[in-house]
Amino acid sequence: MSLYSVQISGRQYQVEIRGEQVRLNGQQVNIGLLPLDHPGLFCFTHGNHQRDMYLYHQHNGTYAITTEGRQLVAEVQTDNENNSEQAVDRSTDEDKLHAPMPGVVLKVHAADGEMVGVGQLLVTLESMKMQMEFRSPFEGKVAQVAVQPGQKVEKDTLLVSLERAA
Amino acid sequence: MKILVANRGEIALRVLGACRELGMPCVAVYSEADRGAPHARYADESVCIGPASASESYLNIEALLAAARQSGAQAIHPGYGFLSENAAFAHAVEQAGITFIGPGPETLKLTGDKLAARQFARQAGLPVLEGPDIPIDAELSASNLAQQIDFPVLIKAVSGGGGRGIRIAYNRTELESMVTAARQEASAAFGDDQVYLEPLVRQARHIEVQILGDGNGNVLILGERECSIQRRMQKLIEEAPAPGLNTALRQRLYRYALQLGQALNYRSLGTVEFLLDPQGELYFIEINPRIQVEHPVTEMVTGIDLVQAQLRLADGQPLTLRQEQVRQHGAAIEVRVLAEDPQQGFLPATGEITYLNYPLGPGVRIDGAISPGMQVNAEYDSLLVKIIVWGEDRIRALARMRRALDEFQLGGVQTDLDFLKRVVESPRFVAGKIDTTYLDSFQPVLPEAALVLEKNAAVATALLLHHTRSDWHKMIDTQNKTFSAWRSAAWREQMSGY
Repeated sequence: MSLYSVQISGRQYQVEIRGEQVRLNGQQVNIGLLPLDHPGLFCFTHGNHQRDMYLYHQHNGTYAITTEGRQLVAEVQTDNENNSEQAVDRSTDEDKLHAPMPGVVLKVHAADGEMVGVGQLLVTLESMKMQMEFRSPFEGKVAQVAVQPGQKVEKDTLLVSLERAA
Repeated sequence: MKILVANRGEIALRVLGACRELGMPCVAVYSEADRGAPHARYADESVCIGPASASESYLNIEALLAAARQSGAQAIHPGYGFLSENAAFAHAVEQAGITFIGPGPETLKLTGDKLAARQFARQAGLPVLEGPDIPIDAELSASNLAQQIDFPVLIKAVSGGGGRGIRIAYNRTELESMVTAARQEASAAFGDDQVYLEPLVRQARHIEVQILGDGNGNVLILGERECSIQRRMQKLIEEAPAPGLNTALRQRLYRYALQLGQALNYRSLGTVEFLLDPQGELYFIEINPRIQVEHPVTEMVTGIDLVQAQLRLADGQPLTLRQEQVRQHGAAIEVRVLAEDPQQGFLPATGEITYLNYPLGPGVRIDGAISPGMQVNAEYDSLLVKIIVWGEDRIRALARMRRALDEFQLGGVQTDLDFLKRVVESPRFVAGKIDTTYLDSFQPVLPEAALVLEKNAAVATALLLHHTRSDWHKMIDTQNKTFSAWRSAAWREQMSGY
């Protein structure tokens, strides 16, 4: 028997698979999945109900699902996985500002070593017609500006690292 | 006439398609990032005009003119965005002896200066919002100015357009930072940081009128569009006709648009944008001197191909259509499918389109330029596809849109599809009781069906993971002959990433 804990949009679903038997949150369900002739494309069956379902693995434990015009993201944990590891993985360093999406650095408003106040503008980023301002979350010193105006950045690129005032 | 299309994406494909139907040879231009892009593959000829960065390619006037000369194009269609409203570009094109498909440079100069356009409209007898017809003086401190104005107030870029360089200040304290933000965005987007103030009309609807002129005094009104469903000043859902307008109001709207079009001796396609306040007052906002993203809804209800009309006029053919021949039939709705991640506050999303299935069937039109395997990058704007539907009336059009949204499948890149569906299904939208602030307070309701879908997806994900792990596919292969090798390959495909 395998137990999978699937999280979608903040809701948790327990799926138990034992041979041909599938249980969702303890209730038996008549659900199946048949691969179709396209990578990632499946025929999802639920009783007499059939639907196209496109399912692919995004990154570790995260799956993207497209079905009935909806796009969902599922995070899966199996019974033998240790979730403390993931927690460490996700902890973000609050002293570092990262780009939340790919884009181009429009302007850098601070320099290395500069003292900055709460809410002070540090970097302006542009992506797909949208401008985003990155402000200092606290009072402190700019340890390093890691980007230059005009520079293309990928998602999660370090923009600025800060040192919190004592 | 040989046409060069100075654009990319869905609008480039749209114009190139019109060229094909008219038997006009057509040329696409592309940046290095767009090598092999759908529009480049579609045209009769395709010319590379520079690096990925728009300023070095799609905004590079010299490169575009060189491409036109090299290919022998006699006319340039600018599409929307990029250089479509740029008077200097139109001027340079005409200087090079090439036809600019759009209004003349003088008109573009006027429409590009929002304050000048306001003055012109006022003189032409259109109602215009109050407010000084001058930019905010850099010398005048914001606090001085703040004493004289009523809040909330809109701060708009003089050279603005496309919803950029606009901010709202709700009080005096916000004014200065919002002016700075608007200036910054305007400077980056238009190379001009001048801004001006305009009263914010609360609960206004955004309604625009499509005009078509031949530059010889003939101006046609091709109906109106409702564009009130906006997010961050960007239109998201548009329809024609505007729901619930009474005849008197509609006639007033058309009369104003006609007055302005005639005063400009308008040439080519244009859109006159208005605000409609809850008291039924109309206010002119601006003129968009180009084809609009939302033009298909007008085409669906009038049966007129707007791009072909533009091309024919540019080719020197007379405008034979008369106003009384313009008939509107039924209702059309358009939604913009954008590469945005709803999980991350609708920030632009990127990735590879790995799966794509378009809705088809009666009354459904797709304007897009994407294909499976294509990379969606942050270089250009986030519009992936427009879904346009037509129905005998608005209720039927809405039902058709719901079907189309259900059928549309896209994998690999996060989109706003889900959100669009919730808006289209929301009771106030269905009732046509919308204004430009509708999405500000919109709380998507999760329908019961969505929860069922979520449960199904959870089980499917667990099954997939289970199967890929246990190599169950091998068992299926041997037990059931109908499961061929390529089917088990589909399971294994999922394993590769794990």
